[in-house]
Amino acid sequence: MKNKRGMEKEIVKIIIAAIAIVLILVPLAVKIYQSFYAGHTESEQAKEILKQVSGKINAMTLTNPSDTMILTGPNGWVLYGEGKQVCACKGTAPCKSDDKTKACIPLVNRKAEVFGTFISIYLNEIELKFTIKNGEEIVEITQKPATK
Amino acid sequence: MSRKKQGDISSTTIVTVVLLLIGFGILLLFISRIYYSGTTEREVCRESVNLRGGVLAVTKGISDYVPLECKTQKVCVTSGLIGGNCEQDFQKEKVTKAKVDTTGKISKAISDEVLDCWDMMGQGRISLFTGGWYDKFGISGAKSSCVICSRIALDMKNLPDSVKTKLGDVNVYNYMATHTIAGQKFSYLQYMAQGSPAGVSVADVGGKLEQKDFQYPTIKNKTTFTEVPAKIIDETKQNPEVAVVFMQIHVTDLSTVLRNDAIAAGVLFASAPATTVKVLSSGYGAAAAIILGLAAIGYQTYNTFNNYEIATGYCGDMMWGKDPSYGCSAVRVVNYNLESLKTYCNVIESIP
Repeated sequence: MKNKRGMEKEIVKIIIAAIAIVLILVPLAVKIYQSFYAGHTESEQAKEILKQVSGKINAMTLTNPSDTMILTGPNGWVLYGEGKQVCACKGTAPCKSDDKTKACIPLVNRKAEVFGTFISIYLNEIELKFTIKNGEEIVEITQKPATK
Repeated sequence: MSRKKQGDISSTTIVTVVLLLIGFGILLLFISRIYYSGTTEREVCRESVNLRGGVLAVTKGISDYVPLECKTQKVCVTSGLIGGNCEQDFQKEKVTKAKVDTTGKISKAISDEVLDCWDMMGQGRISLFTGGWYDKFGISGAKSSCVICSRIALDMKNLPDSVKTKLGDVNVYNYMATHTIAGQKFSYLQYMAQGSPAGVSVADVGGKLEQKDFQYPTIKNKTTFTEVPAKIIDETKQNPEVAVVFMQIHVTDLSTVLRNDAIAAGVLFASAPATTVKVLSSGYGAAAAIILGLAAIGYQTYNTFNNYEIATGYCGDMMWGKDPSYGCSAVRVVNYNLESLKTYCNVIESIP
């Protein structure tokens, strides 16, 4: 009888442990993993796009003043110009300076100012235009109008 | 005394083993991340596909959360001793050169990329883009997810005129049907579709793929394939570029959704039998439960049929052995432009 009661107690303990593992530990572990890496993939995608955009800008000259680029980045991220660099962050509003998702890549060997308002990098196409105004290099990033 | 001790050991052991297994699974995910950085991009992608697909039993439970680490490969189809890098398309990115002197070799280069993509993404056997529990209960909308395996640009500066003027002869589908894979006895299509060690029994679709199922468009100025979804060569572009895209869409069928409902109801009853009986035995409680249940099933049914339609839109042209409304996995060669990508992909999970 005592033995049976002991067994029941053990079973209850096992059930409680299993429930605790399934309901608390696993979701917690998944959340920790997600916070480390799921966002990491999105920012990796965004950074790769930034690299490619800055690569295109670096290659632009007066004889080759315009280019287009297809953006296949994560949903909810935007691209914009900030001084002599191209930046991206998650969100639709202007990115805050302390935004942890914000990433910028400066232009290499270029003194161009990059102008571009917040453009979605999710399945979008941009146009890059290079000009020199009053001796200053200017690169404009705009969303390419949809064509039919 | 000794009996009690025995009982203690058994429960502690079970809990420890379960915790160890979970810990091992999490550790494996972390280690896999470190392992990723040390191998080639294609291997990294393959590993992440295996983890995401839950090929390893220990990661099955959390596989939906594993990020795919697939970087789009850039291939420059060029000619000459050194050849170009297709800088106009890829700037200074890492590029794989495919040197060609005939249009047949362009077909081979694209076919090789298609095959690599198919292999790398699990040969259509792995369900990579399920919508989690939303999908299991028919709540989420069906989405077509893609990985752009490669972008293939033609280096018009270095390709000889004999190739440039005959781009219309490039026929990837015919090439895959009539040429064998290097070192193998089967053609590309045979390997991908039937009679090969790989086979193509698509796990999440369940249908057997026929050769005709693949619509590999030709690179032509005017395509003669009426079922080809996109014109492959973009005449407005100076340097034509195509993309090899792995696409997958999955819809949970209605019977599975209803079965999951029944399981959920059973779990609810088992976890709180007294409360459930109490609620159901009261008149208002039973009526509310019935109304809520019917409304939920009605919504799930509507949503699932909606999803069937969406999936058919994406997979209908593939003519799968099984009804395309349940979804499909496919490798498509498309013109690299926004319109083509949007036609097949709601979400792109590859690193550009």
